[in-house]
Amino acid sequence: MEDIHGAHNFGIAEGKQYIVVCLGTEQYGIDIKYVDNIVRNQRITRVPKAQHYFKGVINLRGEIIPVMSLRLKFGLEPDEFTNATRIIIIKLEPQSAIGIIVDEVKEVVTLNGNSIDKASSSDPSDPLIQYLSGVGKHNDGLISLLNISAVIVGREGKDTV
Amino acid sequence: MDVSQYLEIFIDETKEHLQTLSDQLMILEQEPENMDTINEIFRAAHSLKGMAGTMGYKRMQRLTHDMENVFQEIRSGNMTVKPELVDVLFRGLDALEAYLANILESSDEGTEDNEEIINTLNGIADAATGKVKEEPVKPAAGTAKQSSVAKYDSIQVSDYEKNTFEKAKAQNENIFGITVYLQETCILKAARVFLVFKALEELGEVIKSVPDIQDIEDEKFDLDFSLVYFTKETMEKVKAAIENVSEVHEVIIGPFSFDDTSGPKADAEPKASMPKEPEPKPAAKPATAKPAAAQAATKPAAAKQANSKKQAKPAVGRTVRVDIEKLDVLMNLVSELIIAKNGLVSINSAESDVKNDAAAFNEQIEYLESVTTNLHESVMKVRMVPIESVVSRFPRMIRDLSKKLGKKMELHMTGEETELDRTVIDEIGDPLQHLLRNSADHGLEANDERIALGKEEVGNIYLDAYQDGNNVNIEVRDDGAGINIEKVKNKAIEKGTLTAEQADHMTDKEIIDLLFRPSFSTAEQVTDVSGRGVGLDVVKTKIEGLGGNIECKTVLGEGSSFIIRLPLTLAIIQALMVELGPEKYAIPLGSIETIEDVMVTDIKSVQTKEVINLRGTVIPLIRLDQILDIEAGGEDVDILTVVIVKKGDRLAGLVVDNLIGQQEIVIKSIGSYINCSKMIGGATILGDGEIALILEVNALV
Repeated sequence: MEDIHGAHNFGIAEGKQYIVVCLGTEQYGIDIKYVDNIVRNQRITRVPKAQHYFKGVINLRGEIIPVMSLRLKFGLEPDEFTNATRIIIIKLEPQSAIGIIVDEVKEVVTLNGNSIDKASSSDPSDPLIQYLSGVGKHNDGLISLLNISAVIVGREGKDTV
Repeated sequence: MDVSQYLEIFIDETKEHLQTLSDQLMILEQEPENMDTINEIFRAAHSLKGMAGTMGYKRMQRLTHDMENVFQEIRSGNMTVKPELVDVLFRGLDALEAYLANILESSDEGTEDNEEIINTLNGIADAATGKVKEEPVKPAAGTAKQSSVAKYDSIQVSDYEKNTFEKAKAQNENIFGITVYLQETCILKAARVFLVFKALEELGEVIKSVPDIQDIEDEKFDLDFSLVYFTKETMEKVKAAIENVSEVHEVIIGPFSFDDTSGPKADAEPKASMPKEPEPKPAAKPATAKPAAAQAATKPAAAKQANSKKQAKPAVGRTVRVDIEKLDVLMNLVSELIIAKNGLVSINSAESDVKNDAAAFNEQIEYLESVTTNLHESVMKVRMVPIESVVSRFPRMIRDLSKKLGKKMELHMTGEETELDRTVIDEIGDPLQHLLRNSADHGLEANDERIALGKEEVGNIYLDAYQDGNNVNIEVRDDGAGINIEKVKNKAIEKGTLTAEQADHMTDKEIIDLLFRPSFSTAEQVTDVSGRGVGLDVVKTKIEGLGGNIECKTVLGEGSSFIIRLPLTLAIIQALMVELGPEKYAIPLGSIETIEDVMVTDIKSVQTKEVINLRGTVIPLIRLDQILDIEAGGEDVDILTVVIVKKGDRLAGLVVDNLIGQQEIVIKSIGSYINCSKMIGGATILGDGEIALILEVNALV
């Protein structure tokens, strides 16, 4: 019992936990402290004249939450809704939640400082770079760690489709 | 004795007594012989004295004691009420309000003795009762104008900031120190400062401000503030940009030398001339019969009060006084709710045949429905406060303005009992005050001018509140000169807001709307045109923030009126549900006039816009499916369903595919991240969990 407790503490002190999600073949990590909930795909009500990457709003237990397509925000192909599609509910501030559509949620990983590199790109003008806070290495795979507040409030740069 | 537990009661009751005093003094000024009024004032002063004494507020007690004394003399017939006396009493009232404001803030009355008011009061009482003691009449002291000092010189700079400055200098940026003085009449100071900052940030960067941003937002400053500012622009351009903001009294700008911080000078300077807080104005100004001086003396107190209102009130919480009857109704409804719930439970557990169940179930649902509707209404009513609590201070304000401006004017108020949501009431005071001041200052002509025009000498200002469907309208009206549309138009062209051709095509209404544009409301410029436009942009922003709108009507030579339209309830409304292709939308019932079936062949085209002629009125058609980018699903039909909506006196027809029905909906926000247009006022969740968006008719029409 003691041991488990200790190990748990150790994990929090030494690293951050990330939820790993997939968009196509790429893996992205979202800091777990911002994640309020993960829900299955729901009926999305379109909002006219919104930013193109906002798919609309959903009703989550009586709360109305705007839903953003990460794919459209990043300038990728539009979402194809499958059985694996999930909406991740993010809460940056207590009063305002926002949903992010991803292809699939894979796992939760703990990354410590050593396994995180600064985000770099061969092409410095890569529009995606502004949304990343770093790149994590886990089991020989690379996880792009999202700077979630930049993703949500950040203006569209050159990534408009 | 620990009296802190009584503080809230004390504050509440003091407020009531002060309001009584203010109302009765207004009457007394008109009818100096009215014995009822005199008695009423005596009683209020007496109660105040007792309460202040119990709470240990000695200064407040002393002032009320002397006010009471004066009325004792009047009551016993030893002296009569003179205009000078009323003036002094009003100043005493202001002083009491200042004490109260202090108490609200820190539960301490402050240290202002108001010696001068007390002396004057006693002087009048003594003089009247025969003790010969001439009232000291001295010439009016110079008006309390602040000397315009370049206060930015005394801004202190930290080492870190100095570094930034050096870097900026290396990049050839100019570093200016700026001190801005606002006009004394400015009401929404924080908003003005915000506009100044906004203007500045377009040209460069504000590095430091004194007082700091937080204090400015909280209005914890007097009439001036200072900045350190980086820019590539010239001094003249920056100055012009600031002066373009309304109600700015003076701008002082000069190069800012940050080297001052090194050496002994830095130590000496802040002490010598650190006028962060303006020196306390000598409130003890010699008493004079001149109303102007009285006005000046009341200023600091009033300003202080306005400031403290904005700050957090640690001493007391925000409360609403609720009529006990309203609470009883609520309690009853909750019991009924429980009965309804029990009814449903018993249907569920009772073993009976299915057919009976369904009937009983429906009955319970209906019962539940009526209970929840009533409950909603009652809860809303608890939140409703009569508008009187805001407008009751206006007669006094108009009285003061009348003396200050030297114009005779009268304020007529109706509908003070009209109720509005508490949150709206809290916010509506400042905009109304602004409009009233506008009317008094610029709307009404001078008395002799009025006589020359054949109008009655005394100018009239009207404040009418009334309910209109789901809205409450508040109208501020005057019978003054009205707005000269031609002059506004010319000014707009002169200022480059419009080209001459544009102006020719604009309707009078559109021209008047210019006054609400931020760029247009530069005080001085408009004052010499028509006298309107001071701060109207701020008023408009505030009203729209409350979900309302403002409209101006004017007739040259006959006066103008500003109509504020505010929503009655904020959270739950009746709405018409409509279908557009596969989507559902809600249209607030309050803005719907009628619903019409229109033959496609009846649609006419005027200037490429579709209109219909409905019983003699030409109404523009709005194709919602096009505006809202809805994929056209239906085939062409011969008959369109058109929902006729109104905004003010303008009508428009919204083309919809299908009507679903009327429904009570709960308005929910769709959050700040999604950048939807103003056409969507929110969303609501329907019975089946589906979301319907609420159309904002005001933005569509």
